[in-house]
Amino acid sequence: MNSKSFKFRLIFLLLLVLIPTGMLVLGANVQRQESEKKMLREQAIYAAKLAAASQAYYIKQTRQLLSTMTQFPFFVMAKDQGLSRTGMANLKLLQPDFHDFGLIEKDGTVFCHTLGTNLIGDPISLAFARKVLKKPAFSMNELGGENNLKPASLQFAYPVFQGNKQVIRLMYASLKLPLLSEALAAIPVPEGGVVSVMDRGGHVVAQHPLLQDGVGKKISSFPFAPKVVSQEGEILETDGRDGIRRLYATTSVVDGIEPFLSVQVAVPQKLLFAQADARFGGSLVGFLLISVIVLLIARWYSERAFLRPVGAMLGATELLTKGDLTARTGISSEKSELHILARRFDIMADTLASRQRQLEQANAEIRRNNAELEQRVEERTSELVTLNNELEAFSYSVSHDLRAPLRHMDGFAQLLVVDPSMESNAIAQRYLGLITKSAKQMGALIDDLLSFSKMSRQSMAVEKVDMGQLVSGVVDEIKINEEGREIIWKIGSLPEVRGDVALIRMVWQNLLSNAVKYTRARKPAEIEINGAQKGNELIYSIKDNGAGFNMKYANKLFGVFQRLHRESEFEGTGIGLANVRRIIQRHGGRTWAEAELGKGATFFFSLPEQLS
Amino acid sequence: MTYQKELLFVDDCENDIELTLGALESIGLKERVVVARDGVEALEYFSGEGQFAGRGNPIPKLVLLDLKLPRINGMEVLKAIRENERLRDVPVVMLTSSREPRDVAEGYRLGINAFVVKPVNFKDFTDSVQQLGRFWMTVNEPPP
Repeated sequence: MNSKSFKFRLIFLLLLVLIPTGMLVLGANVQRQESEKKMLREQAIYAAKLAAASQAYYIKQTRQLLSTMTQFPFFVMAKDQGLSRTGMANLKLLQPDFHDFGLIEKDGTVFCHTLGTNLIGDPISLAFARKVLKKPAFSMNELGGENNLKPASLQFAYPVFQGNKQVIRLMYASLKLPLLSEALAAIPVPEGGVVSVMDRGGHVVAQHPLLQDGVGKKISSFPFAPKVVSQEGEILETDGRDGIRRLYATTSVVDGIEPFLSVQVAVPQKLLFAQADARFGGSLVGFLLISVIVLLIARWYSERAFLRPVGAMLGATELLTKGDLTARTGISSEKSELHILARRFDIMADTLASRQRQLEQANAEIRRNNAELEQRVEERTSELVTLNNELEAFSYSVSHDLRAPLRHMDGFAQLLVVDPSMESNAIAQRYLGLITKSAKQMGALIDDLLSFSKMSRQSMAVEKVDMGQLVSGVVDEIKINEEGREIIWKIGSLPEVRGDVALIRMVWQNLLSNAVKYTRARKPAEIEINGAQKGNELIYSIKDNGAGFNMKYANKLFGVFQRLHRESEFEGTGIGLANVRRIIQRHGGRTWAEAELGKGATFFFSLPEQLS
Repeated sequence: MTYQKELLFVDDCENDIELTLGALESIGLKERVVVARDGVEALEYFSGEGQFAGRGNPIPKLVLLDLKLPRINGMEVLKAIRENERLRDVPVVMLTSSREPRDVAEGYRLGINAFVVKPVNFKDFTDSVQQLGRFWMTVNEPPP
């Protein structure tokens, strides 16, 4: 992925938010974990203290009991052993927590006890008794050593004073040891924890739950608890002898000044902090999970909200820059600024494309107009060229054809004048005839020239022309002029056309009088007139059985002053067919002919069906 | 093989033919004139076809050529003469009504030997024709 890309930057931005958040979450969790641990530690100490209190209760109770009982001399000073024993036995009945009561003489011998005659050994550690006699105060014996009495009990001794300071006896009490452990059962120890109570010798006095080693053993035989301190409320987190890391909360049970017992609550750290650690880990995993989900959602969303429109725009712009104006982002909704941007981009591209189209259309129109203009100029030019050619031909003929009859008139007139010995009147008559003919011919020539020049300039009046009617009119005229000739007219149906009536009439006059002229030698002459529509043209034809011509010279047929026959054969000025062509061309049609020398000719002309 | 004495006169106008022949008659040349009435006939004269069949392939001493002729005009006839190896050197005089500079220039370019405009005045016309006849038929030495 390009490190400058939108996607990368988005993810970078997201990470910029996620990383500090993650650190905050981590910090908060660490803090919470710490406070939880602190609470757990306090809980452990609390448990230890509760345990200490439960143990202290028994010690205090025993002290009070012994203190009270030693106030009564009859009870502790009696000389009668049996009486004392009975008193002790009654007391034992009243105090079921105790296993035995008794008195020790000041020489350290047992005066009385309640354990009966079957007792083997001493009811109390005599060493302990001597120690208390030496230092008279409420004391508690340590377990182990001489104190291996059965059932296990914790022994307390209290001095009996005579007068002020004289110790004469000790009263002792054996507390049932399991009671202490039972008392611990009610202590809320953290899960997996063990609460142990030790005497000053390090023997376990009470424990809950009970370990295999059991009560009475030295703590040093524990698989854990490397250290028991008597200081109040100490917390120690260290590895036990068994290698398991534990939290050790210790406190002491104090009665008066001396600590009698110490209490240890040992909890495996793993178990203690399991929940907190699990919560910590859980919240971290949760955070990571949420982060991943957020990233995925961001990816999906950015894809949808940013990358897709941006990608679409990138793609479209690339195509556009390559000149493809049809490229679009294809985004139609307007959800966000980017979508709107993409949408507007599309609109922009549309506008661009439509501008381009308009431009192209305009260009095409300009080109078309130019082409039209060019064509029109060309048409005009060719018209002008044609006109110019005709004008030249006109002036040419003026200098050529008009001179000839003049020369002839002058020539034959001179012959009349110069040769007075003209033998016969016939010759003179002939010369005069030639002169007259020349004059006529000149007149005809002048008329034709004028009509040609006039026709070239005259503007057309286009209207509907009934060809049939027009042709029959012309034919009728010709019939009058050609009376005596035998001509078979075959006139087919002639379609209507649009054009200038006068000019089209001139066409028919020329072509029909030509047909009549060149069939002069035929008896009968046949002239066939037809018309038909072919495509969008109307084609008319005049067929005769006259002199015809060689197709070799067909190209000269419609030229001004071009003739295929000598004047002596068929009179004519050479303007008629030039006129025909001129008129048909002005109507947008064509002229042509087919012929065979001596067999006749067919002249055709076409006119457009719809004259513009 | 050749009739070096003949004058080929090409013209389509009967009146002109009559007037020209009349002018040449008075200087005794009429008998030597052969008339062709258009370009096609003129070419037939050279090739011995049509009405000139059986006369061999004559080369005239002079061709008097009108410009405006039916079917094949004077310029085309001239071109045919000059493009023919055998006839290339025949003297050709254009005798016509036209005084168009275009025609004169075109005529000389195609190799005419003279360009004479038919005068309208009869006496001038006769003089021109007679001068032409005398010069080209008697004074001028034709190509061998």
